[in-house]
Amino acid sequence: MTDLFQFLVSGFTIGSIYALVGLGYYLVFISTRVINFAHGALVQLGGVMALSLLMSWSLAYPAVFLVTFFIMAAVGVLFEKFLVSPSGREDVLTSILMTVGGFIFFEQLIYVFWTKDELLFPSITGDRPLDAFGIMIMPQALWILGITLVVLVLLWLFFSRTIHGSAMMAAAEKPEAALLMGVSVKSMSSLAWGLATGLAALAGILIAPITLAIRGTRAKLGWLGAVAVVAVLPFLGIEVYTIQILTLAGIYAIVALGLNLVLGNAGQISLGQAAFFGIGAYTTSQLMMKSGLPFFIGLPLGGVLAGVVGIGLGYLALRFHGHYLAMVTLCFGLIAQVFFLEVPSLTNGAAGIADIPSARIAGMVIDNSPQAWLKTFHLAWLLFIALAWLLNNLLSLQTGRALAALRDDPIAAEASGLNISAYKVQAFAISAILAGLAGGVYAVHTHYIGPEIFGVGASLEFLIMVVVGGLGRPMGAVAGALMLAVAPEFMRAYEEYRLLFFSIVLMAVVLAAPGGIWGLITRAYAGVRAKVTQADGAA
Amino acid sequence: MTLLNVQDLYKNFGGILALSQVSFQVARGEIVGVIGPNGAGKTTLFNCVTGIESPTRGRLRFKDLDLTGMTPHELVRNGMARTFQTARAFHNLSVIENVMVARHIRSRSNIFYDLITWPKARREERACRERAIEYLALVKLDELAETRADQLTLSQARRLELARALATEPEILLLDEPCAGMDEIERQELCRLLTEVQQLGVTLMVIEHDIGMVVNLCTQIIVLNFGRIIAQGTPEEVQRDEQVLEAYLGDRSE
Repeated sequence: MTDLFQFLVSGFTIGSIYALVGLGYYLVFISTRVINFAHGALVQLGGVMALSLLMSWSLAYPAVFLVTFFIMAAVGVLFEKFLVSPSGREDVLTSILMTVGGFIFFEQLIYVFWTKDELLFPSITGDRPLDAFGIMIMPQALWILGITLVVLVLLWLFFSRTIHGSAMMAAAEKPEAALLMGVSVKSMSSLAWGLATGLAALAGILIAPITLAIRGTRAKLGWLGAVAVVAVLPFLGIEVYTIQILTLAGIYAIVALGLNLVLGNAGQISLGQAAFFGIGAYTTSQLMMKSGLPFFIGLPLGGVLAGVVGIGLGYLALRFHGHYLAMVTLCFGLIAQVFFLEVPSLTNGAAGIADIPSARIAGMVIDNSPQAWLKTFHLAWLLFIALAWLLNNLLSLQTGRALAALRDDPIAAEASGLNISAYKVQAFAISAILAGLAGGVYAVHTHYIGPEIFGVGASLEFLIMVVVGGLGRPMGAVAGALMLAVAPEFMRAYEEYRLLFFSIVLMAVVLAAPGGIWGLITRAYAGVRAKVTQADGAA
Repeated sequence: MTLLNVQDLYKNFGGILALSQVSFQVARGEIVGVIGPNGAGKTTLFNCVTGIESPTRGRLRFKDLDLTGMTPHELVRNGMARTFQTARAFHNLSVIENVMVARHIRSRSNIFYDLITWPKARREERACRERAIEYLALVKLDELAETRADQLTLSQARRLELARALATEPEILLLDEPCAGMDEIERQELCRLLTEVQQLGVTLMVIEHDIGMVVNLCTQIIVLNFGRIIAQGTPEEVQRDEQVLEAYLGDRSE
């Protein structure tokens, strides 16, 4: 019985935090029809900002709450006013890109300014649990419950009793009508963003003593949040066409994630990644169409076959370095394309394979049509999240250290007992598996595959995604994939110049920003931080 | 009891004989000094013994295993570790991570446990970290565990490399000029440390220019000149050797 109550208490505590965080998402969405991907990062930013106020400025707890709330509310208002709103509220894609950009930005901001400090956040009233009839309650849990309750009541009063609340609801429901009634939709948007970001900060402060103290909890929340966003995103009235493009971005992101391991972590080059993408696509579709196997069996088999070929290429790669390796992998990509073209018994040759059936689960069709509750979009992005999670685990343990070591100094790595050949082959194999899996999803997404899709051009596009997104940074894969999937939509009139454009971006990044988009942000703020510290030292 | 037995080693660099007819034995528990003028082939000898370069000819026996042609990491697994003349820490890793890398060969986790951070993977990671701290404490770097390796001073970097090599749990450890660039106090400290390491049961081979240090520290000295062993024996024997005096101290007596 006490166990049950114990569970209830912790359940309510966690539920309250989710409620506070979720409220922020909700306020922003109903008032501006924008999913604020940056919200999670803003929660954390609030937490670390409060920590600084508390520790470095030694403000009292209530003052910290107030100051953080208003600073973060201002951050939210400014973010909406100067970045999200001008990027076009009507256009879902740009606002997604902008808030994803915001997420990266705020995350990096925290990374640059705060990670080096000890992130030990004191609880409001100590860490001694209260004993209530055998149920242990952390005082922090009571604070969380209490403050959430107060916030909810205040919000309810605001929306039901004040003129601003009603105006905000009106602006959200029918912006034009509200305008006619003399409500400034713009200031209502600002109000919503300010309120939401302020609430995010409160949530951040409340959970900081719990999450910052336990390493990894923050990360776990991030993964769960990503899954939740992917799960609900297609049901928020986004056009089918947009969902299709985002699905493609997810598929690319899987390939880029794998290629990033080879390029960014193992420091090897592969110019033939599209071959593995093709192997997965052909294998999965032929297993479905010729052997009648279900998608969820065909997909892993496609990944396995790509992985086996990847091991082969990996062993080959051991004998070559630098430019020679680039040529060898380029040739491998060319040979694979010729194979797709010239072995019709397996690949149907130049005609390609058309009418590939959709994936099914328990008899239900998975595609991006409005009536499907499980969409190809989910397939692509949930697979991406799962793979990114697995890879992240791998890289946070010995494999990540070993790859960093062998990139730094291969001879010293060998002399420390690392089998660097095995690690290189492993990286090639994993990247091939990921590309193969992405290929399988691609096949059931587009329903057509042909040799022209899996050529050197595609391999180069994958390369661009990884380099432009940011080498060695898994989130860079997402940024790069989004860019390459979405950008063509803005330049449809100049379709034939697409690769020209990307090639210029690639060269510019290699020349000016070796860390890619992601690295650029990190570096810019490392610079600012250095200056701040300097100024501190001088003063 | 012979631990390492090098027989008739040759190394040919495009016509230049860097090593020829090199044979020697190292018994368990010894500290063997390798001395000789610059370009005598000392580092080449270490590279050939530790598998970083493959000898043109010759045999390597270690604990009655034939190690000829083994890769460096296989040799590490068999109990042979080394450090480099220029300290080669992994710059992008922290000090403790440098040592943890060397513990990988002792890990019982594998890629599948790691992928899903199975409890075994986490246990191994924790154990790896704890052992790494012990080795850092041995070389007195434990307080710098979380520092990035490129922030270390030369003397600290050398000690880090020693800790990293020891973390592989070697039976023999080859040190290539461990004192280069250190001042007198740091040298004495390192000598104490090496004696400590020897008492832990690790056999040592040391390339060193400081004759005084070699004579004090070593049980056996090998003198190389132009890729050949010109003298070999206890410090007293080597010090009396005519050829050594000529090759090594020649210009001083003139």
